[in-house]
Amino acid sequence: MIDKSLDLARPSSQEAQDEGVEIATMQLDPSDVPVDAPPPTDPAVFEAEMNPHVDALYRNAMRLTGNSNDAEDLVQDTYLRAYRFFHQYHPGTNAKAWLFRIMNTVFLNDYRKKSRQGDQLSYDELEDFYLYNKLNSESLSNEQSFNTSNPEDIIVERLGIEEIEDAIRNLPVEFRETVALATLEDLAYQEISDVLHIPIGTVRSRLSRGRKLLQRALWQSLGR
Amino acid sequence: MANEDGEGVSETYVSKTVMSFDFYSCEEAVKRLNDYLDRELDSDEHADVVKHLHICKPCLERFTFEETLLISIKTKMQSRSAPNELKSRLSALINNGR
Repeated sequence: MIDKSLDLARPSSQEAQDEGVEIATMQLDPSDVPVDAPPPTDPAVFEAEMNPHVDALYRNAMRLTGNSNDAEDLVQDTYLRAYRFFHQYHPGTNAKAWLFRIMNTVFLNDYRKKSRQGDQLSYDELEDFYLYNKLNSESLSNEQSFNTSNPEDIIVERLGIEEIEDAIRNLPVEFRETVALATLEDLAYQEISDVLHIPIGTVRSRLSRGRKLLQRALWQSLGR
Repeated sequence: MANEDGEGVSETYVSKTVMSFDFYSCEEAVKRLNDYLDRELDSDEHADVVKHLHICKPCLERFTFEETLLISIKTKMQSRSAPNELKSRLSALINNGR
């Protein structure tokens, strides 16, 4: 484990650009302008606000990096960055969305080259209700015997965590994040737009296509 | 999908009737599937989708399936949590040496 806490004391110029004017104008090195330095963060206050989201951060980091070692490093870097910039967090806003935004920036700057890209999937023939249609046609043909004929029961009973994780992990990265943030983390479309720095129309199109790709992958794992 | 087949005069009549009562077609409802599931529709559009689902059993079944699928995925995935050792390390990082 590499302790990057010192590196996080002051954002690089590129990071400052990524985080916008608000962060770019901050003086985080005490030797620069101590008078304007933000008040020290109370660890207890920070933990009370942010710790409920550490599990979600870890899951997000796993999706981004694809392995537990990098995921733990990414969580740690994100957590420390959040601590440094906690004075910029507005209480009452969505803390999880704020953390995800930081994580995405850290990931793009430091981790992306190492990350595992999703498998290339064909984008053609993406139909609405793919999984529902497949399960129904299987049920009608009765060639493959599921324990129950109700498509919803099949989903609840047959889809395991491993299959879901594999399906999400194998999505192309741009779809993976959008689908995960909307489906697993309950972020609003505007929050996803802010986290990923993409227009809200792109959130919608990626979500539409990404969920269809996810259903196709889930169908493949169900049919194994 | 709603049964939109029909023939000749009756098809025209149904189409006009649906329009006059401001019901979404299946296509219009499905176009809003994700926004509906993610609660991103404004109240009027949400109500219009619900109205369509009340009159269209095939769409209702499909929408219900999609909702069940998403809830099931979310519930199962949320059982994954960060390692306790990582949580301890995070706490130590901000409580020590600062």
